[in-house]
Amino acid sequence: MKPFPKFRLKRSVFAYPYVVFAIIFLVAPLVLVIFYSLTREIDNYSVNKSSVNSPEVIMDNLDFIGYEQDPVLSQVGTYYYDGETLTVINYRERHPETYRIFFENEKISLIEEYEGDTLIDADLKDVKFLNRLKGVYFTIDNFVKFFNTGDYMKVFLRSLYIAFMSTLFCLIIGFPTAYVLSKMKERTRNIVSVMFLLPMWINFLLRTYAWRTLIEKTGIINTVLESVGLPAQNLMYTQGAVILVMVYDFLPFMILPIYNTLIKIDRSVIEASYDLGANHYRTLFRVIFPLALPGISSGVTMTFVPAITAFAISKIMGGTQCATIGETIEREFSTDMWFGSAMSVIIMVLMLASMFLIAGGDNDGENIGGGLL
Amino acid sequence: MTDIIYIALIAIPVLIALVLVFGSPKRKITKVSRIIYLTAIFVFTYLPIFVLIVFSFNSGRSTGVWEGFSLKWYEELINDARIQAALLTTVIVALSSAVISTVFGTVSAIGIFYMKKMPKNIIMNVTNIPILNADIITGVSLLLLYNILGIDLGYASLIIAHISFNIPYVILSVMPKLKQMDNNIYEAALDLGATPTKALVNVIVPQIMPGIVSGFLLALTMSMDDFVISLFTSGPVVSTLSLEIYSMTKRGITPEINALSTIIFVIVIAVLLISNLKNPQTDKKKRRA
Amino acid sequence: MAESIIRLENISVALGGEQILKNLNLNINDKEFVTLLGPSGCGKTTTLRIIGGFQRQDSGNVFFANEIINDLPPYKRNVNTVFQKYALFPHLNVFGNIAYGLHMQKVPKEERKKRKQEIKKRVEEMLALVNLRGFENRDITSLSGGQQQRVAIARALINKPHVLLLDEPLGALDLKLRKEMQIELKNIQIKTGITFIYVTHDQEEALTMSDTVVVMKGGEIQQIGTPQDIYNEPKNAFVADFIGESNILPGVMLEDYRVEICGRLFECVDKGFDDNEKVGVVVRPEDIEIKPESEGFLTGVVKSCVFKGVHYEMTIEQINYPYTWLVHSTDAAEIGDTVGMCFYPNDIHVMKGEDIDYSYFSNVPEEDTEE
Repeated sequence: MKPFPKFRLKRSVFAYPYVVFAIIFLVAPLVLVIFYSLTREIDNYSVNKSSVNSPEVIMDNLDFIGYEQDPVLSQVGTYYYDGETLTVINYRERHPETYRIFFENEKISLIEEYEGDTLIDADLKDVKFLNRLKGVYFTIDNFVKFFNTGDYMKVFLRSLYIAFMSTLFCLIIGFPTAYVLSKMKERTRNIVSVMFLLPMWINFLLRTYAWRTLIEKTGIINTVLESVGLPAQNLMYTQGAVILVMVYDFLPFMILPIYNTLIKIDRSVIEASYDLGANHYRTLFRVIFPLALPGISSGVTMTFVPAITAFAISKIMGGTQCATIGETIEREFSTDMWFGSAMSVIIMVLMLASMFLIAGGDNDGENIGGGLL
Repeated sequence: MTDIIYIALIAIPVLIALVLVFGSPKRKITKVSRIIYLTAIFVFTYLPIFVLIVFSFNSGRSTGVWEGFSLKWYEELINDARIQAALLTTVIVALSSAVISTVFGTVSAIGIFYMKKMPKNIIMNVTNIPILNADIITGVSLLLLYNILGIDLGYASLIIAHISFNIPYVILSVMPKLKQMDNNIYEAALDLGATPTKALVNVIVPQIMPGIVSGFLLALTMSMDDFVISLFTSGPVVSTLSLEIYSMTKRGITPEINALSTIIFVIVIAVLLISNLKNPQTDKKKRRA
Repeated sequence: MAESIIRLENISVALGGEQILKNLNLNINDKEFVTLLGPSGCGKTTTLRIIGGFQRQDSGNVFFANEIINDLPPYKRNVNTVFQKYALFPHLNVFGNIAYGLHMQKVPKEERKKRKQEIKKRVEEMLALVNLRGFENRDITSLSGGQQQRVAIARALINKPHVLLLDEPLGALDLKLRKEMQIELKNIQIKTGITFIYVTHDQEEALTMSDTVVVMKGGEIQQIGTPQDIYNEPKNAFVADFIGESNILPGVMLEDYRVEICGRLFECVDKGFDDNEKVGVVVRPEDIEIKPESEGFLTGVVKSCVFKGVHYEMTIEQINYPYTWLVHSTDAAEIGDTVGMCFYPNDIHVMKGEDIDYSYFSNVPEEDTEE
């Protein structure tokens, strides 16, 4: 009898590369942000290169770098420094130990044990990797700084307000739109829903900028107003302008999820409501609205989350007076990534909390992302 | 105070509209108000785009003050190497990341679909992260990762970043199609002599094709339109169209970029129209499926 | 003696912590029409999936023509399946679906051209077999349920399998179509000489078509036999109740050929029980005759009488004994009448009866056990 090949129906192996990918590129970055938010760089960690001219200076600075426990370096001996490697000759052991000093930005960034040729070939990037994670200490200072600085809190609350108003208007305008769309004939509504997606093919910065040309002091709306004899309005660089453009930019993200849930509602359910004596408005509030809630909640999330962190819109429309938390993160991150990370974590916590509230503890997750598709 | 005026300005007509729009469909006023409502929304949606297109033909430098008709900015566009390079980068990044994410995402979706419930839930929640997370946090966190891993910012980092936020869209559009599929169909193919690989290619892939296509289009759109994540992951040398436009908003935008947008917009509409005219039947079926 | 084609030996399967099959042993002979019959959850579909290769048993062996095929994948088994909801490929037309199995076979390059002609011929043959001539280019979605069913059968038969597995294939069809398809399936089986293993929960279907019926419950085989055996000689109360309708009541076997039911002595044709052994007694409702009160062995009051077309279905509450009889009779009776009932030694079937829950099988009128 022929031996048959072992047969396996396991198709889940197809997902394994993605699992690895997701861990590295989806999970690890967030873990890093959290790590950074809870740490700060050791201030004395770096020693200026220009001052490193003798072995003694290096030895003096070893304390800062955390090598004081090193059995060789901490012992009395003779040192020799050739600009790159530090050689320590231990009196007791009678043989030299060589260390390599790494500089980054003219500062000592790391002292590594030098083992023959291997370290010379060692990838500097690995050293960088160690460097990044070594020279830090755990602290909650980043968060304390955020909550104790009035300016940051002001910006934060302002962003919350702008995002909340934008989401509210999106919902008020978007729900009826989705409703009207869902009541149309299938062919028409397919075309119309594509028309809502079309503007997304024009770069959103340009769409935002186009609003600027509309409501500028010398813009089109004011020109029209003046030609009619009305006074020109000062619309630019106000919160209203920022909210207006946010509503404009994020409206499709509100309409589409709601529309997608509305068209999936079984017609007979609505008919049953009429049949049981409910009029239009009652049916709307008692039947359609509750059934559309998953779509509404995903629409709200998909609007609120980008609205709270959007920074290009507020920069273009709001100028300096309407700076949002997104702008602050972007600015701070280039100078102090620890503090920037802490702000990101605060936003993440806020978003998780709001999502949890909106979804009502339903952690299916599929509703939220799936609503758009 | 100004906010209250704004709110009143927007809220009152909207509330009136709500009452009218949600009325009985038998009443004529409901029908009329629905059409008016939708028209108003469309005016709101297309007004800036209309302005943008009109000013691409402006003879002056401004994108807000009309000085006369000319095709000057279209000519400028042909000669502007900087914008062309940015456009090329955008297209390369969008296409390559969309193609890679579509292939990788489809295969992964199939694998995830056949996972056990617990790991499946976990991986699906992880997949939702880039969709739910704010762009800026995705961008910042990827920057930290590149920093730690010592990956230099450039084409590679940009494409990887785009893949990482595109894959979830592909997975999420393929997944429902897998769920709709009758699981027996795969078994039927095995039963009739197809090896698992053949069954995958012959039977499963054609079944989920609409999901794959919409996932690809979604990935392409997201990639083309992305600005924030690109800002953090592209580095100083590589520049996409979005980044180029962003740097222009600081110096002032010329109608040149309007001209480019107009061209892109017209191309997209043309492609849509052609594909719809060519086979409206299959398109309709795809939507229903 | 017919040759064994499929043999299951000590098969056990647990799914999600639940024992689906318990040490199952089953032998299926070549060219037979075998039906696995049982209520839902009895393990019949799992048995079929093990034979098809879609489910791996936890222990035990599957033999195909006396060779172990435990590790043989479905695509290498000479067995094809008609799935419950047909599982047709929606992206292929009728021709594509039926030809799929042939396309999957490896063919040397030089024969490719000839092969195309052959496939076409074979598909046409199959379409003729299932009465769907001329349907080659139809879309699957445009077919009715019955037509899809036929395509599924043709698709499964084109590879000329030794064994065809059918998983409740007629479940989605309406009654009339189902009856037609039953006859047609039986004809196809006779014509092709293929072994059919048919899974159903419909006892009538099982009795109509099968050579052998395997009654299953809770992952165990209750009885294997011809439809006549199963109906006339049920081995236990479950089989008696599941196959057709029956009156099941406790009795005492006084000696061979003599049984006491309801406090009365009856002659019967059964033997081989201990003297005074407690037994279960099955009397089919159609075997009971309604007589005037004075002429019956037992008397009772008519509680309900429903016209069923061919006969009247009555429930009769016995006087002096707490049992309600189910009777099928061509004569009607008024509700509230007192009537006599009689039945003959041939109609009494005795089975082992210590652990029968008689209350479960009582014919109280309100209870409707049909799905």
